[in-house]
Formats: sequence, C-alpha cells, structure tokens
Amino acid sequence: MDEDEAQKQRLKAAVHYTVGRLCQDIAADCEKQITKQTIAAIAETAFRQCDIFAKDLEAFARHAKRHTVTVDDVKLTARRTTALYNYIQQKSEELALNNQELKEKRKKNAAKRKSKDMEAEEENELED
Amino acid sequence: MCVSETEASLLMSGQPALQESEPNPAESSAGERTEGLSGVELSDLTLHTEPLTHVVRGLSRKKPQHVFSVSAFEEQFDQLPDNTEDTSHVFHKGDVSQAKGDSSQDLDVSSGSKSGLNLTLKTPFVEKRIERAGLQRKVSNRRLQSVDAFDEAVQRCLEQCPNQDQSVFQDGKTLEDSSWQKFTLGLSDVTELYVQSKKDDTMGPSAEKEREHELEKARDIPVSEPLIQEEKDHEMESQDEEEVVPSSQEDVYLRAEDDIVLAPTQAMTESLPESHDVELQDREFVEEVEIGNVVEIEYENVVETEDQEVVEIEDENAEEVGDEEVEDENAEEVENENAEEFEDKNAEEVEDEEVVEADLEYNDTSQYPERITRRAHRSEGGGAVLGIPGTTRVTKSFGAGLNPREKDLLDFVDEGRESLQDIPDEEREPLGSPEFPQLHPAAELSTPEQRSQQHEASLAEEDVPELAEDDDAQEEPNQSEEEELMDSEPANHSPEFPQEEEEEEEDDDDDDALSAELSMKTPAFVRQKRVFASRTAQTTPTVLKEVNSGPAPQVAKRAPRQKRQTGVDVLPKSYVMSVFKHFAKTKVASDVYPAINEILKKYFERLADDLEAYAAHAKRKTIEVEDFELLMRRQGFVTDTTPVNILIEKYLPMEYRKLLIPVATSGNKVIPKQRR
Repeated sequence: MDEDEAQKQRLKAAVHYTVGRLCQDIAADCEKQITKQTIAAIAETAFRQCDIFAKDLEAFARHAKRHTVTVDDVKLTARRTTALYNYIQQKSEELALNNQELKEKRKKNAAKRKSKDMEAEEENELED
Repeated sequence: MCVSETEASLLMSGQPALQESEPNPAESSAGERTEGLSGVELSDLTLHTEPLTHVVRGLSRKKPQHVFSVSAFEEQFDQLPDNTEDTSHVFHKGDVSQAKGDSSQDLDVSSGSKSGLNLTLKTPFVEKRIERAGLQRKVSNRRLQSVDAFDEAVQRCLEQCPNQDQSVFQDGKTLEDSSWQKFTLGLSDVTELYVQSKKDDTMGPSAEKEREHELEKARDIPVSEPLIQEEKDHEMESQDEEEVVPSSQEDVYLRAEDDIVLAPTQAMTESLPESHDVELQDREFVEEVEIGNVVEIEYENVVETEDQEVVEIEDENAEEVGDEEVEDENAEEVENENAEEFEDKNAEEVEDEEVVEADLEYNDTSQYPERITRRAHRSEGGGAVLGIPGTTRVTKSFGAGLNPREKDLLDFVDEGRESLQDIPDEEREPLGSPEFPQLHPAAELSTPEQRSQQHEASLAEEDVPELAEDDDAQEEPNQSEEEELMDSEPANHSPEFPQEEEEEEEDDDDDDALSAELSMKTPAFVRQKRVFASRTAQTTPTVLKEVNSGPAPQVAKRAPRQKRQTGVDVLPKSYVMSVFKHFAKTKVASDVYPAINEILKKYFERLADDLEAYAAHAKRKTIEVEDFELLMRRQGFVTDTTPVNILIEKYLPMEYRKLLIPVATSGNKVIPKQRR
C-alpha cells in the first residue's frame, strides 16, 4: 500500500513537472504568466482524468472481450471531443500506415532471409 | 320576500314541531309578515304555507296522519288537480308563491293535509323543477345549446350590458368563458395583450389597460358555455402569457372603439387576464387571442403603418369583419358569427394585423393605443394587436374570434386557431399587399393551420394563401377582397404583433397538444410552439422562410400538425411533470415542459448514440444488455463497489429482478437460463 502511495506520488510529480513545462511554453506564446497554483490545479486534474481514462479504457476493452487496450478503445473514449477525436484519428491512421510499412519491410526481410537461409542450406548441403 | 318568508315560516313551523297540527296560525303569521303581500296573497300563502307545514310534518314522518296506503295516495292524487289550480293562481301572482305552492304540493303528498293542496309523490319533482328552474345547470344541456341560440344570447348580452350574467350558462368559470366567447375580441385581446405585455415591456402600459378593461368586461359579460371554457382553459394554459398580451393589446383597440358590443369584449378580455384562473383566461385568450392574435399580429404589422391604415382598416374591417367572420378559419363557424357582429372592428383589425405582421415590435403598438383598443374590440378573439390597423386577412381569421358573441364556445377554439393562423398570415401580409387580395381568402383559411405550423412565420404571404385554403367554408370572397384592401393599407404592423403571434402560436400549439381531447381546435402543441417561437422567432427572416414555403404545404402541414404535439413529445407531459415535480420538491410551473422536453430529447439521443458506439465497438450490430451495463458504468451508477446487481435489487420490482439475476430454484434449476 505504501509503495502504491509512493508510486502514486512519483507519478504525480512527473505529471506536475510535465504540465509545468507545457504551461511555460503556452505562457511564452501568449506572453502571459501562469501562477503555480494554476499549474498545480491543472496537474491534479490531469492526473485524475488519467485515472478515469484508464478505467474507461479497461471497461471498453473488456466490453470487446479483449485483454489488450487498443486504439479503438482510445477512439471510443475521445469520440465526444471533436477536435481531439479528429487528432487521434489522424494519428491512428499514420500509425496504421507506419505499421503497414514496417510489416512490408519485415516481409521483405523475411523473404530475403529465407532465401539466404535456403542458399546457406544448399551450400551446407553441397558442402556436406 | 314572500318566498323567503314562507320558507322561514316553513322552517319555523317545521322545526318547533313537525307535529304541529295547525300550521295555519303559523302560516298566517308568516303571511302577515310578508311585506307587500295583498290580502289575497296572504291568504294564498297561508294556503300554501299550510301545505308546506304539512309537508314538513310529512317529511318528519312522525305524523300519524301520513297515510301511505295506496288509497290515500290516490285520494291525494285526485286532489292534485285542485292543488295545481290553486298553485296556478299563486304562480300568477308571483314566482314566490309558485315555489311555495310547488313545495307545498310536493310535500303534502305524504301528509294528509287538510288543505286541498295535497300532492302525490310527483310534486317533489315539480318543486325542484320549478324552484330550480333558474339554477339548473346541466352540462348536457349546455353542450346541446345551439350555436345560434348562443349567439343570440351573446348578442343580447352584449347589447344590454356587460353586467348581465346569463344564469343558465353561468358558472364560476364559465362566466368568464362565456363572456370571453361572446366577446372573443375582448378575451383574445386580453390574453394577447397580456401575453404581449409580458413579452414586451413597451406594451406594458397599454396592455395593462387593455387587460383591465378586458377583465372588467369579461366579468360582466355573461358566461358562455362552461364546456368551451374548460377546453379553452386547457389550451390556454400554456398560452397564457402570450395570449394575454396580445389580447390585451386588442382590448386597447377595442376600448377605443365605441362599439358597445365590443365593450363587453374588452371587459372580458381585460377581466380575463385578471381572472383568477390564469389558465382559463389563457385558454379563452388563446382562443380569442388566436383570433385576436391574428388581429394582434396584424396590429403588430400595422403598427408601422397604423396611423393611416388603422382608420381605414377599421372601416374596412367593419365590412370585412362581417365577411371575414364567416370565413373564419376552419376553426369555427361560430367565430365567424361573432366576427360578423364585430365586423366593423374586427375586419379592420384583422386585416391590419395580418398585413402588418412583419417584425413589428410592441413598441410601435404602444403608439397606437387607441387603435389598439379599437382593434381589440373587433379582434375580440385574437386579442387586439396594438397599433395594427389589422390587415384584412387577419381580420378574417379573427373574424371568427372577433365575434365571440355568436359562437363563443366554438369560436374560442377556432379563434385560438385562427389567431395562430392569422398571426403568420398577418406577418406575411405586409410582405406583399398585392398578394393579399388573391391570397386573402386562402391566407385566412390557412392561417389557422399556418399558425400552428409557423408560429414564427407570420408572413403575410403565407397567411393569405393559407387563409384562403383554410377558410374555404367559412371565408367569404367578400371578406378576402375587403381584407386585401386593408392588407395593402396597413404596411406597418406593430412588431409586437408578430411576437404575439408567435407567442400565441406557441401557446396554441402547446395547448393543442395538451388538450387534444378537448374539442378546442387549437392544437395544444401549437400553443406550446408559441412559447418557443415567440422567444426565438421574432425576426421576419424566419417568417419569410416559412412564407416562402408556400401556403399549400403549410396548409397541409397545419392539419396534421395541429393534431400532433410540438415536434414529438418525448414523453407524455403528465408523466414528465409528475416525475419532475416529485423530485423538484417545489412548485413547478407547467410551462417548463417544453424545456424539459428538449432536454429529454437530447439526452435520449445521446444515450442511443453511445449505445450504438458501444455495440459497434464490440463488433456487433445489436445493442445488448452488456452495452447498457457499460453505459451505466460510464454514467457513474455502477462502480467497483456497486455492481449492476445491486442496482437491480434496489430499484427493480421482483418480476424484473428474476429475469436479470439468476435465481437458483429447487432441483438445481437456475432462472433465468444462463446465456453464457
């Protein structure tokens, strides 16, 4: 339990740090200042929202009778927020493309390797 | 006095000693007490009182004299003719004696009265009948009253004085209703005016005046059939505000007018808003307002061009009103009749209103308080729109409403409808006067329909074609012509008018939907719509759009629309309101229903959307129970600590619970059968 708490605190700190950096960048763009309390509030909210997301994602994955949380689950979570949903949609498409390319590459490599192995075997056989 | 005295004597004689053997002395004393009774009368009274005492004694059933034998009855029966003769004399002398005689006759049956006034058992009926002739109120009779008879009565009432109350139709609420119906102009005006005033501050002062006048008149005016009122009440509930305002406006017009006939309407309209029953008033106002709304709407439109047009319109309206009335929207022939009565005024008002419609604002109407009052008189039902000369078309629709006298009952319903229709028509009228002449007949006809359909669109154009279509039976070609003239004239309609119309329409729509059962023709949903429309659609653009849609489609829309509720009610209003009130723990006005309806609509739409997404997520095409469980989790009802079963156990009845939670029964049988 304590370890969980400690873990939680560490996570919170990490989130806080990241949120602070992001806020500083935004403040620089808007040429305005952001108070620390604000950053703390944002960090706390983000942390709690992550918790809610996780539970929802788990519920969605279970609903689809899966054991792994996929992009579909994430999309279902974000379907209400139009902007975020579109963004995730784009990203998922890009990822899909990348995955496809990677798969093609792997296939090619696999084919090459197979041919190489075949050759190696032949050579071995010949040698033998 | 005689009656009271005799009654007193009876009481006196009866109470002290039902067993008095000589009622005569008591009766004679009573007779002596009666003032102004001639000796003959006294004697008669004694004769009658004697039997009364006898009767009293007879009622006590302590008198051994009571003879219940058949022979005794027969003897008494024979004596009846004698008694009747005697009583007839009494009748001539006065009703009082009549009543007494009857009572005596009735009562003597049981007692073996020595006087010849013994009557058989049938006397009690006689007594009641005679005594209560004026007090009888039979709902059935009321309904059966012919429109003509009613109109006549209304006319009489209007002519005489608003103070007259028709006892026959009188009723606590019916009075107002009847008065409204008779003077739809007043009522509608009141409601409309009232409604308008609420909506527009500018209208306030004028509307208030009108309302006051209307109320006064309404009170004075005899009550129209209570049934109609009831119906109207239902409808008017939602429309209260809107209608009241417009009606008030009309009243203003009406008041200005010298028409005596209208005067009562004004009072009615005024009294209406004041009446304790806002709902009732609203209804009436709605009806009237509808009629008057049309007028009002016209007024609104007219406001802009009122000054000149008003005068002209009024004159024309007078003529047209008569015609228009007949043409009144489909809603009610009666209304037409009323309109006829108020021809002069209504025609003008209606016309002006219709023409004017466009975005007239109430501010303008205030400028023409006089006109408004005049219009109010005429518009009656529709609630005079201030400052609207009343387009011809409007008058048509109002025609029905304008002459509440004739057929208030029907007119109200029709009027409300008409007003609704008129309003859109009116709005359209200003758009194109040339179109009016052609469209008038159609416009008016369609107005009732249109109104319901387009609370917001008060375009004159629409009105005209609509009227024509709707008022096929009712409208007269003459009216349309007249209206056309008038429509062209009133270019400026008070902006309030369209607002009123909208309001009225909304109210009408709402009411209609709610009171579908009622004979009121104004659909409740129309009234409800008014509420929405009045607030949202206050600009001509929407109206224009609707107008452009064309009269035909509108007419077609109106018919079915009126029958349906605004849009589609997600849940029945009664159910929704009851649940809402239960959880609100405070008083809840019924006009919140439209807002709740919208919210429910959105909620259920979102709910279905989520369920669909969940089912698609599971790569299914059918929504299953597990989708709902997921939804409940997302909503927060189901958490890690409260599983679904807990909720089931908590809220559902046993029958449903059995279906959902497996129960092990004897024989290792599990119910329901496990699917997984």
